[in-house]
Amino acid sequence: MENYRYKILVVDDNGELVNLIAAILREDGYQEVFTARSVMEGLELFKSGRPDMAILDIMLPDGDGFALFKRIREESEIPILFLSAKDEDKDRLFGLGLGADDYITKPFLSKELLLRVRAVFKRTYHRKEEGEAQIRLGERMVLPERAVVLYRGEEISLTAKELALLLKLNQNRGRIVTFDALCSAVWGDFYYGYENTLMVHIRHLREKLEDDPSHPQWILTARGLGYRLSKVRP
Amino acid sequence: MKSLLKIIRRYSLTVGAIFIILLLCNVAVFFGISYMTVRDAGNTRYGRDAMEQVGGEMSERDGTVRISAEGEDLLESSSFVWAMALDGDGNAVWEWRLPKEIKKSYSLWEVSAFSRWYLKGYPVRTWKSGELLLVFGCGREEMARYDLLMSRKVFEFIPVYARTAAVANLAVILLFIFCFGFRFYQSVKPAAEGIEKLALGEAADVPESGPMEELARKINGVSEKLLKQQRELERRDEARTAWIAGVSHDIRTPLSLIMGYADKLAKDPSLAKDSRRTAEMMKRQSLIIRQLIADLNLTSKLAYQAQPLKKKLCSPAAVLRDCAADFYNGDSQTFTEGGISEDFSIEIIVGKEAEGVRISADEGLLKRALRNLIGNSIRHGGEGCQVTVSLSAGESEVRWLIKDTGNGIPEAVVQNMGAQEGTVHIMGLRLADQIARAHGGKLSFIRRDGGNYDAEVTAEIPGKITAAVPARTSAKADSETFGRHSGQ
Repeated sequence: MENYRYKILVVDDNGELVNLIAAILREDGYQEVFTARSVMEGLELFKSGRPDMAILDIMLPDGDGFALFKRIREESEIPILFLSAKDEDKDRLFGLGLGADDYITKPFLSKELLLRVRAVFKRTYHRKEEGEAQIRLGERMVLPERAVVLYRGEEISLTAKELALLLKLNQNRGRIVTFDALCSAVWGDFYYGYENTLMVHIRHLREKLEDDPSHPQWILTARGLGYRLSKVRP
Repeated sequence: MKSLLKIIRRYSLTVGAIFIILLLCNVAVFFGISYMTVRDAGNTRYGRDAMEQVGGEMSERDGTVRISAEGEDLLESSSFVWAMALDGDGNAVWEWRLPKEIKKSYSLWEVSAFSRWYLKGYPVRTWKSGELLLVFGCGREEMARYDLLMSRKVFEFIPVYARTAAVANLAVILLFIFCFGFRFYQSVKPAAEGIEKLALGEAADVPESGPMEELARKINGVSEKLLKQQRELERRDEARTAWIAGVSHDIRTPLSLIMGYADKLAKDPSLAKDSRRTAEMMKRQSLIIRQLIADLNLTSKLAYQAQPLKKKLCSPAAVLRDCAADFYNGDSQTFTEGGISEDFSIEIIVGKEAEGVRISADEGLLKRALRNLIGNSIRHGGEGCQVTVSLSAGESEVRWLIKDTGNGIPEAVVQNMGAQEGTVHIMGLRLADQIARAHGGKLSFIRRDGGNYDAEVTAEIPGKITAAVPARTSAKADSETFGRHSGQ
């Protein structure tokens, strides 16, 4: 687990909740979690601890999370998440409009919080370092940057549309991606009428990625819904 | 406004009709009286009959003109006040009660003058009897005489003049009716507009002047009262929505703690399996509470129009597929973390027509309505069931029919939907109905053979929008189908 290297600041006026969030994060491997219950305390900890991420409540005893967000932004570009009981669209839009990386509403599941924190870390720190990761499908390895599939020393090239489809499936690996989302990823919002074309591209992808394209093991069909890129060979 | 014009038209017609009836009555009365007068004038005391009869009673003997006793009686009974008989030279040869101022000899031009006019102020009638000219004097105060002599042309044109005058009179009448009608319309118009505004729930604000002053004052009074009531209702609605939002806000933080700790306990390996299962149940129930809070908030906002719809053009088929995929992918909002159990399945059937339809809708809300209904089928699907959602499109609406092989929606729930105060158990369905109504549709229930119900949601298609089909590629299609189309 490599999460230990990230430091997180959690600010919420509810002491118990702050401790709970800290415990959830620590259990997931984030060793340095600073907790604060007010804007002032949060600001001090930000300055002294230099966290890599801040999770801020909006309603705080000496101000609001939006103000704290702005103070932090004046000095740093670290990712900031809002965690609030305010679930109104206007609050969410205001928070995201300020430039927050995510807006989580209470009550939340531990897993949901962790996934969002991880996703934000990945978006912020990993993309530039690692570029687009390789996609491993059994013996085959897809190199998105070169748009090729490596298989037993051979290089099979992918078309731009095949690659776009594969990347969309890989972003949601293990989850069903609807026809609409796939078409939209490749052809934009006005995709109606491309259904058959989508199927042709999927068939070509299977020919390049599957041992037996008529019995696919990686790109699975969710009948009536879309496709799913399997995480493991079934 | 049309009704107002109708009133004006009716008003004008009524006025016109009354006027014409009165005119006709007057004309009838006038002609009636005239006829009777003329008729009587011929037969009665001043008539020619009397003069003729008197003439018949005159006789001449020995150069003296006399009248019989019957003639005297006739004169007595007539209204003539005097009489005389003139011979061919204009000399009076007989007289009856002749006043002193009336002379007894007349020249030709004098005879000509009084026969058409007056004689010493007496209206006079003349009658030729044999060689005599009988002259009868009428009472000065009783009778009047007008001699009428007109050009023939004028007489001939009298009907034309009469018609022209009638048309001119009618035009004047219509002009007056129009003027009065227009004035009436003008004075009623602000009041009518005020009433229209009242119907729209706006302030009437009718100018309190003119003939409609009192009416305007009353309309303004009603408007003020209605607006006050409306403001109070809005304030109450806002307060209720704010209260629900406030309470749900306050519940969220403690619920986060319950969910967090329950999750921790459910994963704690040091705890007994039963305890971990209990913690898991607590977490699941907390999720239900979370959903209820969200539903309660949304339902109150939709009920009081406090939730602005974020409408945009979207594909109802895509919304449905996205929603079904959420169930398979596992989503905390669908209570299916890790996906739905293998005992459950969701089949999507999209009509060919429906695939291309686009509607203006709040995608998030539509998805929520479908999620509630599909989730309802799954939650009450016993050990396992298949949920089938068919999407079809008509001329003016799209229809999602949600059927399942499970228990369906019980009669009691369907009956409860109409109640003003629903229980939380049907909040999901109620919300689906509210969302459908916000999109010009509704939630309805279709009775199964077994007695329970399936749900159907409709949403309005504004106009008929069908996505454009781009030019197909020449590539051969895969054997798979893009969704399962009905009719295939």
